[in-house]
Amino acid sequence: MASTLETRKKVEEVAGEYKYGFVTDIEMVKAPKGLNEDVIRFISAKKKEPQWLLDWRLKAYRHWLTMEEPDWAMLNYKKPDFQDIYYYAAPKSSDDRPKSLDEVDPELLRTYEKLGISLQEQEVLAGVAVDVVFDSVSVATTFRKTLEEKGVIFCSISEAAQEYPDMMKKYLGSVVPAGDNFYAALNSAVFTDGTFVYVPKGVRCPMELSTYFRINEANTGQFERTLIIADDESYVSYLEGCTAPMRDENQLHAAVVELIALEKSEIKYSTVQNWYPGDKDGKGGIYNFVTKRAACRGKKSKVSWTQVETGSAITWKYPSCILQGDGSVGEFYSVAITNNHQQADTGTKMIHIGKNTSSTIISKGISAGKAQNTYRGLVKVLPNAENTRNFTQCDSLLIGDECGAHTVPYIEVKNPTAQIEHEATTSKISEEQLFYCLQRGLDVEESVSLIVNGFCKEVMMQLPMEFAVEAQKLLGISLEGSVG
Amino acid sequence: MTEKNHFDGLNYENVYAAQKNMLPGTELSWLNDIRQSSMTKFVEVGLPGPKVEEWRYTNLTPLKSETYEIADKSPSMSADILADLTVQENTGSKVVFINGYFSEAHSKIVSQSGIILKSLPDFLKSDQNSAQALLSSLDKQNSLEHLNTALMTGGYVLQVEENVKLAEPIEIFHIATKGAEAKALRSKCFIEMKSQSSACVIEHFSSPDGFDIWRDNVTRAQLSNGSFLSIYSFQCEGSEVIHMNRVLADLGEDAEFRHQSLNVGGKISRTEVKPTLNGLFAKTNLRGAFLGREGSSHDVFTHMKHMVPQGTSDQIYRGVLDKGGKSAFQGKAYVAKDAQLTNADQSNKNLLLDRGAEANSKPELLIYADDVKCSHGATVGELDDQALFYLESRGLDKNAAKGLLVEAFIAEVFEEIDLEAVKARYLDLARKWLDKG
Repeated sequence: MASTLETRKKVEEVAGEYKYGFVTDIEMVKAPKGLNEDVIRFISAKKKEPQWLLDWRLKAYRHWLTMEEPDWAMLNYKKPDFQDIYYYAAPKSSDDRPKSLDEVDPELLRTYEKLGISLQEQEVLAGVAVDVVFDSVSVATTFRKTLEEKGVIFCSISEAAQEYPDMMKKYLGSVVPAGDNFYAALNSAVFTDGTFVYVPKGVRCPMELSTYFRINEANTGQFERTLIIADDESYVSYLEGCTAPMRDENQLHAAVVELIALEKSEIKYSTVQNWYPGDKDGKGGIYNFVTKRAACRGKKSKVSWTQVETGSAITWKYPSCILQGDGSVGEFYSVAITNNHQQADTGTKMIHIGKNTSSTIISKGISAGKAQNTYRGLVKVLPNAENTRNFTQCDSLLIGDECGAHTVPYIEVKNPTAQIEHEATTSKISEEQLFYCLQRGLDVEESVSLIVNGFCKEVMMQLPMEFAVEAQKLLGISLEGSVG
Repeated sequence: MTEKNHFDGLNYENVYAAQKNMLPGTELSWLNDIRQSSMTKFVEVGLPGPKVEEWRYTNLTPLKSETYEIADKSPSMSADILADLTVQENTGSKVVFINGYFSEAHSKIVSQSGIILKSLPDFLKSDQNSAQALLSSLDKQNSLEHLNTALMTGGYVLQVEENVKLAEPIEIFHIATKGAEAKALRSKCFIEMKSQSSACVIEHFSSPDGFDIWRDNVTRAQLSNGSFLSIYSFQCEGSEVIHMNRVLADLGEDAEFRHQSLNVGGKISRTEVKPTLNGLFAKTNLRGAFLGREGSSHDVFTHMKHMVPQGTSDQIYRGVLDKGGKSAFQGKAYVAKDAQLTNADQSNKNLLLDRGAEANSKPELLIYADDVKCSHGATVGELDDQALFYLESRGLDKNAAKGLLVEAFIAEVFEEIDLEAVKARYLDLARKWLDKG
């Protein structure tokens, strides 16, 4: 079929174009390569952390030593050598942190301009507060003043450890315990920075909060940690984006995100993940092993995860919701696109504990080239969760005959009043739809783009405005040529 | 070396050492070799533990904590038991196993040209070469399969020649009676369908309530081009039985395999159906219902392998769980890279009738080909209040109304059965199960 050939060619063209693959030349301070208790002490000292946090890290590290790397996911990769990674790399100038944007290393600012997130521009025009994490440290947090007036705390997690120790002690590790899984334990031991957000009672956060992650140095791992607490009747929308330069070796990214939603609060967490996926022969790329979990602790609280996953050589990520509060709501919207040799094993867990809880899962997987794309999800209803409701839909599109799309849902129900529905389909683009578009005068590219956009629409609609533009661009690049 | 996730199987090695002289065919040295090497392979891996993904919903600790020995050979049995179980008129062949051993006295083999039907022990002696080939071609990944080979006592071989159509369904009876308590009953069955042949097999698993038994049956079917095989399975084991039934089918071009099962008994029941579609246009149709309440756990595991293009598979499973009942449906549809134009459908619906019931479902799709249509659906829910109310308003009492709705819920599974007597038996057993509650 001519159209298939044509689109496949386009994919190959596009595949080489990872436009964020530049390296910024900035002097870095690094911890010695490898991992041991001294490195953890070094990181902790660099961050001027209190003793309890160091103890917490060490405990996590000692537990991590006893754990084995999980291999149940449908992923095939060379296990990282944990002694061959720098666990701490910070731009040198951060030893004395910039007081304002003017003091930020101009080279760094230019990096962000290249990424399309000029800080000034963001601050002035978009009104988005950005926390930028560069390799391991949080570089600048914009808009803090405006947020402070409302009582919203938005700072790096290192600052939070010093300034808000009570809250940190109470919530850190309360959703994802230090020993939760192999990568979460590693992160707990060596996390270098991340974001801390607290939205006080009754406050609707006046702007979208956003973090941009970038891995710059060679051989470094990035281990950030995000903790968001939404107090009673508050609302916050949080955006996260990531890029990395093109390198031949695989780099490790193992983040932990914890969300805590108290009574009647709502957290909306959106991710556009565009780590370097490796070249078209599968060389290089980021290993993205992320633990994201939300606890809906309060009554009628709500957490909504939206993710657009286009990057990374390996993705291992299951943003989950623990629906403890009665009437709480969990949502998961995901578009995962894999091309060339990319592998993604992603999905969600919805644990229904409280009464009248409900959850929605919409997952769209698109697999092209030699990629493998797996949806893995769990919906669990505990015996006391009355009248729970879940709807799950997982659709997969396959492009080309060398890729794979897999669906591995788990449904575990222990309460008869639950109503659980799951449906999944796997197919290629319907010839009929394509034919219809073509006979209306669209060319193949446009038709495919239209159909695929329709395929992902349910998820894209969930993204906040600020992100929708970027996400659509990314989807455009990854998708336009890839279906036929 | 025992894997970490498995229980070691040393207790069964001891059973083998102590009881191997009781096994059929001890005079055949090649058979002893196969049994011995199977035992060694089993001990290397052991019994699957709860951390093995395929066994996450069924805990086999009872098989480790208690050692099930081989039962003594054939005690007497009243013919009434057989009469009660029989579905078809008395014209077809009947093969009866009592406590795991073939019972010549109760069996009746009707001869038909082009059909060979023998008990496995007879076949081992009369057709040594083919028996050896069959026994060496087993599922090497499965440790329970090795254990079964080492210790099996019963089973049958059915061979249907080219273009031959089996006149009457064959009924197979796996019956446990006095003397089977705390014993393991193992059988291995082989069905070979030559091209364009057709056959239908009805199998019954029956045992008394309160008997602690481990039943392990394996059926391997080979379907050549254009052949047709349908298996109807009735699992009506006693309340304390650990029941395992594994069915493997290998399909050639244009072959069709159907498997229909009803599980109503046992404390742990595990049914595995694993068809492999190796020929173009092969077709597989799986249907099943499992009904469980207090003290019973049903685990249905299907693995549909589409290896070549143009295959069709369809699975419909329904679960009904009353108070204390537990179930798991693990269905896997695998489509290999070359298996373009595959249609694979899967549906699992579960009905929870009361508190304390638990339903698990894991409908998996593994797709490596792009031009396919694959879908699966899974639901868990309770009876529709409005439907119940409607029936009550028409004068039915609550239990009758409930029964009617449950019956309708599982009827879908048996809808396409064209043997009226078989269909009636399925519904009858389901109704009896409901009345008990």
